[in-house]
Amino acid sequence: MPGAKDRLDSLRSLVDEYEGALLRYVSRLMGSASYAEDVVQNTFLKFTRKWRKPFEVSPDASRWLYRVARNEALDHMRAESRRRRLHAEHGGEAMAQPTMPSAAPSDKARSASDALGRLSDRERELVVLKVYEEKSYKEIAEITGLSVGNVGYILHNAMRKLAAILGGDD
Amino acid sequence: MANARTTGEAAAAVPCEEIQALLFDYMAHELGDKQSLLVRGHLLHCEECRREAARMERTVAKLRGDRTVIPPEHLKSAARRRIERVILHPFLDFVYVHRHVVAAILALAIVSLLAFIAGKYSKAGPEGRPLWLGPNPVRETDPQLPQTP
Ligand SMILES: [Zn+2]
Repeated sequence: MPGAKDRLDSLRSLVDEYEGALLRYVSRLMGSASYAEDVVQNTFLKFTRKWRKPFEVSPDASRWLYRVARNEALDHMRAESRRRRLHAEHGGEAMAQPTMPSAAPSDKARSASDALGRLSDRERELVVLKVYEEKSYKEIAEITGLSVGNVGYILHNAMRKLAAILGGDD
Repeated sequence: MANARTTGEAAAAVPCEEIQALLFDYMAHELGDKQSLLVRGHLLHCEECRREAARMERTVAKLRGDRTVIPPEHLKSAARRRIERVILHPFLDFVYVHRHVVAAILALAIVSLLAFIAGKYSKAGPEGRPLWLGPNPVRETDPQLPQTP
């Protein structure tokens, strides 16, 4: 049984290994970087409390982290949209997108981000893992629990939708 | 040479719809050798599918070129300390995680303690008045004691 010092060192290595990838993944998934840190922090907190195996970089740990990060991000987005809806229903002014990043986006960039936002949660998740994280279908299948065939099918449909929005040669 | 031509002709004969269903997989290097060859062969002969492939490439390029979202590269050090606290101070973390239960138990304990104290000092006096409330004040309507001459 490793002591607290060893566990701490292992945890630090694990956070070093995954924090960047998870921050990118969650930011893209949510269409904003504003809450990515909270979501990723919560993901690691849950991991540290619940992970019963040694803290090691492994496919198991990776799968666990991505799945929990995804659920945390989606929960956060649902809560946020509920809050906005309630606000609108109770006579609040139509709120501007509160999670838009501070950097001024170009029109082209904005349309890419908007296009992603029009996909279903599942489609967006797969596109982020493939296009931005450059994971193989097999890795995506491991992370999402889908079959490799299903990953290909969903990605194909998602990319066709995106191509219809973004594919023009402007 | 004849074999290559046969393969190319076979690829050209595959319906465009089938090829386009494989385009993203092809670009993502997720197809086996045989299917890759088929798509490549078809693209050499088919203007429409080449246009579709270019459209897919532009889409991927636009997604990757998107600078609307700029993810942070690292967690802030406060966040890291918060995570490490789970290992360094497991008891405090346990209390934090179960703070609602802990607060409820504490509240219950305080209420029980107050009730116990109240019960201990509430041995009723002769008029049913708890002793801890002090002596009964004399009221105006109280009957006057007869005066002794
Ligand atoms: Zn074709």
